[in-house]
Amino acid sequence: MSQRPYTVVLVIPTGIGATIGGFAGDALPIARAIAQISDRLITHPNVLNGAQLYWPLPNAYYVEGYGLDQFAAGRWGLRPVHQNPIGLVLDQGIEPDLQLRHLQVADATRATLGLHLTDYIVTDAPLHVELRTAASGATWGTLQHADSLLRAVDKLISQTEARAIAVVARFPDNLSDQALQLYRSGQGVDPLAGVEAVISHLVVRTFHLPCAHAPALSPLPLEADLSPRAAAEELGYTFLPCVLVGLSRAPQFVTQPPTQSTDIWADQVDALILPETACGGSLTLSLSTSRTQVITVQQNQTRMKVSPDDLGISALRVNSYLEAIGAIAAHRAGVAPAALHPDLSRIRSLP
Amino acid sequence: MLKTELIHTEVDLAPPAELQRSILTHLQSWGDPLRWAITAVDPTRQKAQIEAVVTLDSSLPKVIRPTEIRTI
Repeated sequence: MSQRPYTVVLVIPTGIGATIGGFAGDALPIARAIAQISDRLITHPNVLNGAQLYWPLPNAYYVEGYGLDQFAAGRWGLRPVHQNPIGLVLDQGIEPDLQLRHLQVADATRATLGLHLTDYIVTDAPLHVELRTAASGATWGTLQHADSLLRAVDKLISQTEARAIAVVARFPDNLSDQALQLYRSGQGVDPLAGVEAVISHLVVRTFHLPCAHAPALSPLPLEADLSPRAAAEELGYTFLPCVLVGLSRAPQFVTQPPTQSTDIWADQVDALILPETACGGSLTLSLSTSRTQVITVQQNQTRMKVSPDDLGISALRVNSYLEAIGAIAAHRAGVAPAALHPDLSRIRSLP
Repeated sequence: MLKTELIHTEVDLAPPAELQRSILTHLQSWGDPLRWAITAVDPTRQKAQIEAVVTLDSSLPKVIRPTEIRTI
C-alpha cells in the first residue's frame, strides 16, 4: 500500500434526538460498514455503545467526546494501545443490589472477555445526577457533587495502574412517562444522554484519560411496543459491558511531547461524517478549517438546526448513510463526486 | 466544590475558527466551558444560539487547561 491510512471520523452527537444513533447503540451498523471501507475509524461511545451489545472493530478508535474535540482542534493526539487497565467508579447513590449487579458485570468481562480491570471505588458522596432538557430539545444535565466524582478518579489513578475510567452513576428513575415512552418507541430524545456526556467530559478534561459512562437504573417494566432502536438497553440489569469493552482498547491521549510515529493527529483525518443539522459542535468547526472532507447526512434528523451553510462550512451533502459510504469510497479512490452524476459540466475558465 | 451549570446564550456569527474562539471566550464569563453546541443560527440578526454546560470551580484537582488553539 503506497498511500497513508484513510481515516474517517464518524460523529453522531448524543442527546440531540438523532433519528439514527440517538437510541441504544443504533449507529453501530453504520460504524461497522464505514470501518470496512476505511483504514481507521475514529468515533465516540454514543456510536459504539449498545448496553449489553457491542461489536469490536479492530480498526475503530473509541474516543470520548471531549477528547475528540481536543483531537479535532489539533491539541491532542491519539495513541493506539493493545489494552488499557480500567478502573471502575461507582456512584455512592447506587443501591447495594444494583451495585452488586455492576460488580458482577465487571467480573464477567474479566472472566469471559479477559479484560483488565484494576479496582473499583465508590464515590465519597452520592453524585446526584439531575436531568435537564434545554430550549432546543437537547438533553443536558448537571451533577450536584462533581467534585466527589473527580476525587474518586484521582484516587483510582494514583493508587492503581488504571489508564481508563468507567463511571457508573445512579440516574433518577422518575423520568416523565411521556419522555420515556417516546424514547422506548424510538421517537424521542434520549433523556439520559446529555448528562452522561457531562460526566465523561469532566473526567477526560481533568485527567486526560479515556473515560465512558454507564447509567445505573432500576429495571423498567416489560414494554410490548419497544422500538428495535431502543431494545439493546432492555436486555439486562446494566449498560456497562459495552463501556468496558470500548475502554479496553480506547486510544490514550497525547497531550505533550514526545510523540510517536503511530500517533494519530487531526491533520490525518480524511473525512468527517455527521448529521446535516448538527454542524454546530467544536469538532466540526475545527475540522471544517482543515483539508478534511465534511460529509453531512440529511436523513439523520436531529433537534439541532445548524447546517453547514449556516456556518459557511464547505460540505458534501448526501441523503443517507448508504450514500455517505459511497462518497467515502469515491473520495478514497480519488474520484470527484461530480464524475458520478449524469450531468457533468465543462471545465470552467478562470475569469 | 465544583458545580456544573447549564447556560443559554448567543454570539455573533463569524467564520468557523473565529466563531469557536468567540464562543469559548464568551462562555468563560460564566465558568469553564465543558460541553457546548451551536443549536441554531439566526441569519437575520447574524447570531449563533449556544447551549453549554460550564463548571464553576472552587477547590478541586486543578483543571489542566488546553493550550492555545493550534491551526490545523
